[in-house]
Amino acid sequence: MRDKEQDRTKTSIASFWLIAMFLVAAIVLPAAPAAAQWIPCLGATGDTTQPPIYLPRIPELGFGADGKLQATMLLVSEKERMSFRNPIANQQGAANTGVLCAPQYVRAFKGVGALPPPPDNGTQYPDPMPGPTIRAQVGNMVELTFINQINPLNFPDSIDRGDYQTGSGCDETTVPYPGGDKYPNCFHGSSTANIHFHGTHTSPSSTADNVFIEIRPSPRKDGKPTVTEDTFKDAFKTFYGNCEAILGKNPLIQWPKVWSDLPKAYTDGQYTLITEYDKTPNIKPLWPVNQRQIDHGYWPQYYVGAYPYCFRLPEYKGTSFPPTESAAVAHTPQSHGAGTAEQQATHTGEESDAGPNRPIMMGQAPGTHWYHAHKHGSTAIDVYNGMTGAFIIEGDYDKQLDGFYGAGWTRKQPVMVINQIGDAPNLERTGPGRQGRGPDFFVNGRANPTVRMKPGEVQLWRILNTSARAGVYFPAVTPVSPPDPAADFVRMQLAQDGVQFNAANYALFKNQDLVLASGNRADFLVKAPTKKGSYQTIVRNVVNTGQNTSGNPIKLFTVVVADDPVGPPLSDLLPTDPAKFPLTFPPFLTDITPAEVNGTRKMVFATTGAGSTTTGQSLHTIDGKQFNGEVGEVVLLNRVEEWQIFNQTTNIEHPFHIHINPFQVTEVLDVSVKLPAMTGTGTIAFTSGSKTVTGTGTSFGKQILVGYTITAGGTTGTVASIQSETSLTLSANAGASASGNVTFVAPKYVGDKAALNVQGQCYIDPFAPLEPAVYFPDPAHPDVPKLCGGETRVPPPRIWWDVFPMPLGTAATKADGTAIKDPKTNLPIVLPGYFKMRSRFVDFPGYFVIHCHILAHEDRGMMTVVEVAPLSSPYSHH
Amino acid sequence: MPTWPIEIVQKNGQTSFDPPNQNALLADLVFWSNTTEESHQPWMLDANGKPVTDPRKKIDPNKPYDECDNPPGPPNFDPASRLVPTYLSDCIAEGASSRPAFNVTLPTGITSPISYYCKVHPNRDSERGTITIVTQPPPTA
Repeated sequence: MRDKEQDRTKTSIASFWLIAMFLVAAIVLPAAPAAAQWIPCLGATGDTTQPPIYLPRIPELGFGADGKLQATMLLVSEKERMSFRNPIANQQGAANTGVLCAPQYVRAFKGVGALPPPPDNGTQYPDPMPGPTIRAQVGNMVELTFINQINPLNFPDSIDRGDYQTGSGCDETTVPYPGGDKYPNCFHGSSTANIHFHGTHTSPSSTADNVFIEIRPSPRKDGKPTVTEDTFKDAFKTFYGNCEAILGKNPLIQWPKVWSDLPKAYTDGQYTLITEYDKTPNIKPLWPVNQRQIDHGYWPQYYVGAYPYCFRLPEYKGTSFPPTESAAVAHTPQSHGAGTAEQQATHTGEESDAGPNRPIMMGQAPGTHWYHAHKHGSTAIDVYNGMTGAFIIEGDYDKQLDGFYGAGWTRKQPVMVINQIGDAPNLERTGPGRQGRGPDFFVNGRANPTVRMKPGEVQLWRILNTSARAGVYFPAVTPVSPPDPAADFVRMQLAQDGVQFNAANYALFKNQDLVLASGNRADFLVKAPTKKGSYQTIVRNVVNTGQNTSGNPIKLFTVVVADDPVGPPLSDLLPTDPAKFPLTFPPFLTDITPAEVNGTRKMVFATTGAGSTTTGQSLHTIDGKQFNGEVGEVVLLNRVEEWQIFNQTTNIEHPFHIHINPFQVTEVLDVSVKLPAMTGTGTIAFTSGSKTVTGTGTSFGKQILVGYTITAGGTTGTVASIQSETSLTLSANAGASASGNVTFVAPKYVGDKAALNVQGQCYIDPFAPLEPAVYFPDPAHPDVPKLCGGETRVPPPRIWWDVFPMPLGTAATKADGTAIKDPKTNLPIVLPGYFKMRSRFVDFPGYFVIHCHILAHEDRGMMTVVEVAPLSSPYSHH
Repeated sequence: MPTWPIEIVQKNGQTSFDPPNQNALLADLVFWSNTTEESHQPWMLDANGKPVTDPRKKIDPNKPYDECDNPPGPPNFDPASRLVPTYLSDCIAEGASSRPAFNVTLPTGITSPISYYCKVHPNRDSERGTITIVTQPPPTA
């Protein structure tokens, strides 16, 4: 069948990114009926006359004409048709790899009344579908009732036990897990949930983007949850009314702030539910923790069954940046409508009842944002289960795009939620039985779905990589070969991480390759070829740059270009001429200048320990610590800081993520880079199958050191050890016998001065690795080191991010190739890569987190707390 | 890898495991959820049908292990000691699911199907089950 389909292929290889295939997607393969528990996979009929699996439209929860997003989000457990790679250890896209499907219990977000309903697949097991797309507008109130109806009986025991004396507090399997993991930095508590509104610039406190709260599942009676959307309906209605009244006046007000700001019917109900929950044997009781927090005026942390999210997406009213004082929100004295006089008195200092008297410094950027559960210990499994969804925040960006393409155009455009769905769906763990580089990429819950375009049509693709683990590498778009302009796509990037590009970057990022790391989003304008046909989108699964080219090609989705061609404006890309570019750039997104920066700091992300072969466990830390709830960084509100983020990991580009405020990257240093190939003295000879290389007239050990790559006659190897100036040993040799003049590639950055023997190399002191690299030797002044200057400076205008993969580190070795070790720990030292970023910590004080967005790393400790301290103390001076 | 739930159910006055035989691949997870009003503890049987040796190391040798023996209270064993291939689950209270989850392996001396019974109710013939280890079908090209 495949041969026949290939025979029908009329266009040869198109581009690295979009390749004309003219064949039906076969990524979903039929499961063999070997075991009763397997069920047929979607599209597994083998009948190629069946229509393709089109990209499904995700059900949506939208805002109303009243400027409010009012909705209910259920979290349920249900059996879905999940697929697993076969053989399990293969990576996606590997040869001879299929999938098996089985009904599996997963946790899933469901939007009450979300439309359109998901497709009915005709079986008792629905296919995975992201959570409903939430659509709101800048300035809107978001009033989202969250109901946790997970049935813990559908999963192995994963009730949050806390650090109660019954054991580790971690989930447990007989692999064994938790092995070396320690509570709270282990997989645990996956029936508890919350919602992180990733990309929102809003309060990190109370009922806004607060990832510290934990909502336990509803109790159940006769198999059904007792907490439903009706349980607190009236109380929530009252609460949302108060929330609108207060935040509607000024989104900078911190409200709700104390327990009594919530309606009594809800607080009483929660007291009853939580104290009843606390009777569960062998768990850490929750109410005493809440009571202690309430007594201190803090927002309580634990809830059961239901939670009312309420916040406002701030709208920047100024026409320039920084805002003028007159842009401060006009205050109207009002009552909070709840709480005692004593409690209201805590709203003192800058926060009078009318709110803080300061302007909004940074509005919510309109764009493609998203949400997912963010409960420490179960973030990864929740995302692997499919608990992610798009959060599209509309604004002038959308209005101006619609102005160019036609009314309502943006809302018709495809939203593509990528996720690696599966892994160990019921209970995350380390160890064997996991899929190479994580589960397959799915788009809107489908493997290799089909996107329809008309010839020459321009579409806006909002692509979100919501995967828990891997980045998606999109190769550059290049012309087809042999040349056929009618078969070429054009891909213009329009936004990154929900923040639009200005005209200059829009013009610059045409057809460029890019990585969407876990958590990244990108908006593209994509222009279809005028030539009808089926085109394949090929990507790679990556966690470091080296995998951009080494990984298996993966069919992410197929584009079918059919029907009648379209004309302007639907066939027009936005003009790149800044004078004609129709999107206005929000003033609050103007570049952060050096003059604005009034604080710097450094932090180090590191993964240490290769882990045992049975559990694969490593230690993931920030500044040498695992997450323990302590505040890692304190920043004063409305300060602008420049952070240098180091990565002391040699094989993982940990994606750095910070909540609440986006940032701009200004500088990047990848210390794993190599110098250009150089010609050495003498000739060398490789012998097929032998690691030994002999040289004639060579200078091994002086010119060529351990770790260098050497090449002759088309064969290449890496030097593992050197025996003499004419004899060395390779780490491996899979090449053919060859000989000839030697060329070699040396690392640019070394951690041993004795290893500096090539012009252009730089030295990083392995015992002071956070200091700048210095350049040796300087021919003019060989005894005076100078700064190496090998970093990449990112010129303005800069892109805004909220996730950025950190460049790799490289192992510090002596000239003879042996590891340089830390005398205190006896662990090998890694010279870190880094990036510098600038961020405005503005508008919202409170506690939030930074973490690695490989979510298993976050669950296992690679996270810390940022405190943005308010401008005023709660005390008055008079 | 997939996870397979086995329910402990009560029907017509009898408690049983549903399904009584569960197919699984090596490295799959299996767990039990207890829908009855009693505690139960799945326990692996050896090739002779005898219960396998208890791997748990007691903390206080003079006290019972856990709530199956002496409710309520924290278990009286080193939790790490039971995370071994022959251990299927702690005692499962009414309305709870099993801990730890059983990572499907064939312990030394055990052959597929793995037989087990309820350690709390060893004389109930209905409370017996098996886990059959199946091979992964070849991938379809």
